[in-house]
Amino acid sequence: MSDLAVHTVGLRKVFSARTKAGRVRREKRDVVAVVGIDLDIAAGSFVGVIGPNGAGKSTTIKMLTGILAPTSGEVRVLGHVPLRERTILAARIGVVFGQRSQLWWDLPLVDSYTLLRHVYQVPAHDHRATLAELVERFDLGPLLDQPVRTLSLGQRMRAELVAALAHRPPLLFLDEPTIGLDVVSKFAMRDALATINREHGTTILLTTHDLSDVEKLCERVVIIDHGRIIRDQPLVTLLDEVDPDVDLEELVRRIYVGQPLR
Amino acid sequence: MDDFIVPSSSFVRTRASFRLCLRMMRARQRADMQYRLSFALRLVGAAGQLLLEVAAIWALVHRFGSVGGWTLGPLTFLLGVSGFAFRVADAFIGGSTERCAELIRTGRLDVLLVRPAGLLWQVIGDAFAVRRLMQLATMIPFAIIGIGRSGIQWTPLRVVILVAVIVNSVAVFAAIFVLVNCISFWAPTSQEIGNAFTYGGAQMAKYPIHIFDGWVRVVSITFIPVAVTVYLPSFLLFDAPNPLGVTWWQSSLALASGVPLVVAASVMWRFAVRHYRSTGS
Repeated sequence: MSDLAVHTVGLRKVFSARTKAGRVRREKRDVVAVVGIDLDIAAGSFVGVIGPNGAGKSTTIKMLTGILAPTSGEVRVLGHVPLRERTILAARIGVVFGQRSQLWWDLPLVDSYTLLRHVYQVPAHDHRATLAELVERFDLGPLLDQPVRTLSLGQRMRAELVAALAHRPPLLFLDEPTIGLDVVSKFAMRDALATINREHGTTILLTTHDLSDVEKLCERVVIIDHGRIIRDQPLVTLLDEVDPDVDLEELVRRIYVGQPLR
Repeated sequence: MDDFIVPSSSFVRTRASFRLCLRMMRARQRADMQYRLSFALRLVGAAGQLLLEVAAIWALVHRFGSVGGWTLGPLTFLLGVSGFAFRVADAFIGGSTERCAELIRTGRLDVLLVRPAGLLWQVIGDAFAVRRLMQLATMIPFAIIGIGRSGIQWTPLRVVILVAVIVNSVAVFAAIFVLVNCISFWAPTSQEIGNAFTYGGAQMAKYPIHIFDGWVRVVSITFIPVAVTVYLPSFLLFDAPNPLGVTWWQSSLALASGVPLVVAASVMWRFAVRHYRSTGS
């Protein structure tokens, strides 16, 4: 158990939505966002989670990080029950939402890092060392005194990643971290992620729509559709299922629409 | 890679969350200062609003001399002390009702939820605005005049009771603010209803409750229980007309009303957070 970073059995999430069924009358309808996910992720691995829009990827990540309460099922992340032990788990994970900043928009970047040091209660000495190393690696030195709102998207995503890593979490969740990045920023981001995974043994769980992210980074691919895991296997064996001239993008398209692979 | 050890006792964690809250307040204030003109305009607006509020109260008291049989002294006490208590709660938690709804609507609450600190503390810290401290500061002389002119025959016990009235009132208003925040998890665009409870409640608390008609009076001790803040316990401090026949034990009970309300608010908050649905990806 202890070398599993993530362990879920029959993880399920049902939202009840009210839809209009007349002028005033509303009908209550259950929407099953995640049907029942069994997922084990070994410590130190780099796993890519992909799936069409609305497939349940984000909902799954949110249950793993303690944001959403599962409707049923069992879930352990680093041995913790995410919702019940939310703050204990939060201290041990890093999360980057591509669409949501955790930095203080109007303050110099370095102020966000100082505030986050207090959020995570990292001793000042350790923090200085870790931050210096990360700032160096992500080339953020010249940006530290700039207000976050003046950073470009590429710069900001690097800054977000540093924010998520400065408390040295053994597990990192990345929700579409390369969304909207130009080619140079994207490549730099990938290099950094690969290095962190390799050198520090940080477990990384990445959701993305950019399949080249998966191809370059992940040893294992989990495909979620309609709230279910429809594929969970090493990237190489997935690529073996098609002719060599078919690329990953085409392969995944065929899986999404249910076409035969060969 | 070793992760850092996190404090485990709930007292240590609460204290850490409180300190963090103060830091976030300072950060919020520095961020506000980035836009100096809007900051200045907001301050002017807040000061103007308060001035009008005070003027309205004085006009009322001077015009009629007494309200519901209560003369200027006890009335000023009621206005000053309840207003002060409300502004203390408002200065620290008041901004959070708006911010909480916004964080829920935009899904930005996700970011706060994945941090190892109490969620409510973070929302409060993130929502802080200096102008609320200004509003509190301007209420202080009012409270002092009110206490001075109330005609209380001072004994050591009454000093203790007065302190209890203030502490309890702050707790009651704070609990109401938190309960209003909880509504946002189900109805994040219902700000006006929330304001009716908080700012509406504060307006109601300024007057001797017996001047209100039956159902308003019922509301003031049930749904928006502001009668318990100053009005009910005030009979322990001075003799004032008491047409409702409030007994000493009812007054004493009201003094402790903050305890169940704060407990209810914190239970409700936990329940509400469990029902957070987040948005989008």
